[in-house]
Amino acid sequence: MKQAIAVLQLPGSNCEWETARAIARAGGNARVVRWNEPAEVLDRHAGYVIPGGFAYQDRVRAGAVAARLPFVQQVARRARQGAPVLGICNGAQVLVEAGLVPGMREDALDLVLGPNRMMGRDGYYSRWVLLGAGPAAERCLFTRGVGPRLLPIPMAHGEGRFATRDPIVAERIPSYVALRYCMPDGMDAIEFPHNPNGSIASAAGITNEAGNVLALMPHPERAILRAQVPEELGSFVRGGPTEDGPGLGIFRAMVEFLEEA
Amino acid sequence: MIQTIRLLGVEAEEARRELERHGIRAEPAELIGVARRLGRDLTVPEAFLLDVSFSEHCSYKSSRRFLKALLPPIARHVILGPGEDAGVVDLGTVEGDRYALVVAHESHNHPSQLLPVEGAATGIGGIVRDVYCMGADVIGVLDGLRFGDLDGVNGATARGVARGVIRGIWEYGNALGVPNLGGDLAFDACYDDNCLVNVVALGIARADEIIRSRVPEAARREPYVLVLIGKPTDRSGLGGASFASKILDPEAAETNLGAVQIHDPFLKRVLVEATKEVWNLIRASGDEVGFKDLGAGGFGGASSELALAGGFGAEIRLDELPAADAEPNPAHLLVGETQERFVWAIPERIAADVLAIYNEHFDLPGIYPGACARVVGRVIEEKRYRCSWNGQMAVDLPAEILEEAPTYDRPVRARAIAGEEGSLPEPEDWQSFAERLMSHPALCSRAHVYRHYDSEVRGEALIRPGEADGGVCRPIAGGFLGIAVSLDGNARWCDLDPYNGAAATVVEAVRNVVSVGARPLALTDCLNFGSPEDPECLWEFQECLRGMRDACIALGLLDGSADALPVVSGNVSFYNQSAGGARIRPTPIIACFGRIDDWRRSLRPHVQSPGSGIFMLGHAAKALGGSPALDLLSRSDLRLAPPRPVLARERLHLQAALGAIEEGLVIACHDFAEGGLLAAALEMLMREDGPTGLGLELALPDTSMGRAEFLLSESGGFLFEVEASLEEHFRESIRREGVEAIRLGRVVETPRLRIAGGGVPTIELDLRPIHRAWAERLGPWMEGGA
Repeated sequence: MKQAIAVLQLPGSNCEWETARAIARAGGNARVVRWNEPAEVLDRHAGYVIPGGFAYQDRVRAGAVAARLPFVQQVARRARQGAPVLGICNGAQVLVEAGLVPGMREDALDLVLGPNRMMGRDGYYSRWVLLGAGPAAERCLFTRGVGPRLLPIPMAHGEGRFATRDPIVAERIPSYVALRYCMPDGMDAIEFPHNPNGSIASAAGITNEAGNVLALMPHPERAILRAQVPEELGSFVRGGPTEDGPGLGIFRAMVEFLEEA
Repeated sequence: MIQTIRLLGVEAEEARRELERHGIRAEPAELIGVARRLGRDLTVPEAFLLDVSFSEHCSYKSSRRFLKALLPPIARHVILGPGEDAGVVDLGTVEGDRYALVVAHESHNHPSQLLPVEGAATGIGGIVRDVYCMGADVIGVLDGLRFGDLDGVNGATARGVARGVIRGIWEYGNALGVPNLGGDLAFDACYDDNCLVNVVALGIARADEIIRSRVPEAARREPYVLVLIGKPTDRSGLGGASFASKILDPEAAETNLGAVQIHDPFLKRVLVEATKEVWNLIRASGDEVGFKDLGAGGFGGASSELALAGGFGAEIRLDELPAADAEPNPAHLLVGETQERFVWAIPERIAADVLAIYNEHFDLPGIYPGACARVVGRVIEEKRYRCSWNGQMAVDLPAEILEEAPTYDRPVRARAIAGEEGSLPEPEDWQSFAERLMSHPALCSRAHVYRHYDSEVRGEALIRPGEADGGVCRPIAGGFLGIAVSLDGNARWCDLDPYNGAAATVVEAVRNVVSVGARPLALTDCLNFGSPEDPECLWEFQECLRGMRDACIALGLLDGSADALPVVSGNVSFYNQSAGGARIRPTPIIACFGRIDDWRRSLRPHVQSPGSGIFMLGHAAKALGGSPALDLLSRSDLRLAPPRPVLARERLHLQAALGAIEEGLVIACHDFAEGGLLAAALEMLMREDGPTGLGLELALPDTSMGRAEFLLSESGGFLFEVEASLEEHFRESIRREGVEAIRLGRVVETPRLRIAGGGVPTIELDLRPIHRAWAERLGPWMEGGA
């Protein structure tokens, strides 16, 4: 019996179905679980994905209200017990607001996700970006297999800039970066548009100390087929149009981790 | 307390004052006529409901006779043509299931001019409801936008409107989770006071799961109830439909603001997820139902149409309608256009289950104060629409009064069209001319706009905005069915020659879906015009419709059948003009939907392989009217002929192009029209991020036209990249349709565009500065200034 992965449906989630399909394609057993189902339902799952969207309308700050739901708090408890938890886009915002990543301190949030900093524009921004392994990639169960490859994956958000005012956090944060925005030559992307939001340490995905939680702003569930990769990034992927796309590996790693557990 | 309005035995002027006192803008004679037929004065709620039902927006009272005569005939694969909230066409069978494509097209022009963010957002919110209410999940939206001249005297206002509209579109669509698959954007001073925001939505459903917006026949066998779901009715959006049917009057700005609705994509997402659960419930039980979105005319409009369309009536208890106000006004409850609502007609037997899905499983009341699903009335066999308010009669109208809106036989008067072909001088310096051409607002990169839009949500996008001539997605997880879509309009052509301009727009829309490898299935349109009370304007409308009809019949479905390309849904938007009286140029905006049997064969325009051949297939005729080249090289006010497509030949070209693509003989394909061959050739060498790294060496064929005229005419056609070893195969394939592709040259490794021939010095264009001019125009232009 495969261990089930819960894809959380919060009020305002809007990527839950394609995320569940991506997990299924990766060989996993995904179920969409609604926010007002009893929290015990979550205990019957072994892994958790908080998908993209606008949970609770991004009231206060993106992810802030959802992070305080008992339902999400239950996922946080499971994360502290070592269960794999992936937050994508708005889900990443929820994990940051819940204090799960990077989780340096117990009593305070280390990071916030600020509005994108972009040259000559503001608001929402979407494009395909190149992601490469960061210093924490080997520690993080979702990104262990990335190696030296660059992964084309689309991002789409208005508030995706990992930021902090605390100089100690700023100094330590690179060691939590599992995936970073890259230039085509693999160097850190510092500037817009390769770094699409001005994120600290070119961070696209941040993990915790144990490596079982990943807050990832770009959307791997939108890159599960080779054919989805835009023409100009075709040189970064191999194989025919119906072969696995660059985003699938993240889900596959999660499924494999659960199978080995 | 239900008030009445005195209409019997009073003069029209007195009736008008009385109606205006209540905020009703209807033509007094129309309501006096109703009162006489009923033999009594009207209640205030009745007058409000009839005001909306008789508005141009809802009743098509000026356009109906033209639409009846001039829409193309319906083809065999059309499941549902114009008349309901959306059109439906058969997509055939994919892995054992038959699917249908559901498409809708609307305008939200006046609200967007007044409150750009809210107006555009509710435009998207409304158009997706039209697709959801057919039982289909929305797979994409597109937007056709027209803004004023950002450099003109009203530039600051136009810029504010443009920025607000784009924000409204992304705020709503991105939050709801519907991908943007493309659009069409143009700027012209004629839209300074009256922007256009046209919205398209497409959805997919299994063909046997389509839900109609009418009470089903089963309601004769058991009791049916009406269930209102969504946001509680508030004061927003009062009289939106009748306001869309007037010229925007700056003096009435305050009243008008109240007519704009407020959007809430967050609530809508939850409402849609819950509704999908209800679909599952009724599909399992096999119950027949009716479902309709609340748009123009609010609850009264939707519930009366739902009942009457099925040949039934309804009895509504207005005091049961969830209201945001503590002391709601019954007339406002009836016709207010509060967003994010639908109405169901379902068997009373399953009502408790349906209510539980909305109110408990998806906790609508916990998500938004006052939001819920509630039984508010019942279906009756008598064809009458009745509403009560605390036991008092508020509305009691027979079907024939609501269904038979007055129609007008307004006069048309022809005006001159541009027939001169004219000529174009050679630019002095082709390099700087090419930079100016590609940075012209009609041609420059739209990336600044579409990067605001989420095109990837749902994970189904294959070709996104800016990547090719049309967008492509794969909405069905199994199999390889691709859906292609494009949106086109060219008001400058239609202004110069409404008939030919509209016909050329249809040809262009079809070319766009063929360019990505798709076979056209259907069109939708939004016809944006000035006042139908102006005979010249109504003539423009008639001529555009005639041009579209002739094109649809002549082009057909490119499948060897005699069927016309059907127009399956659409909208007429009149009264697009400024308070000063200047009407917009005639602006039909046309969406074309196509299917690709195997999406692995879809094509993009960028050349890929040095040594391969470049072929042209098209009608080389002088067509300079309305072109950006004319703006730059001559005088933009010169009224020269726009493209005048020879439709029978265009059909052969389209068939030949599609045939060669489906045989796998084409590496890249791009259509040319706006900006002519030169713009198209440059576009084949540039992507958003920069030049592709390849170049073209072309030689001009012998022609009676001057070089500039040949390169810049907008008569239209295709450019193909064909692998060297397949060139003969390709020529043969094209010849099968009795037409000839002309070899213009080849792809080279040097990243330049070279054009030789014609006995004049060779043109050599350096692509980097052209790319910079093309890519960096729109952002600073839209974001600059106040």
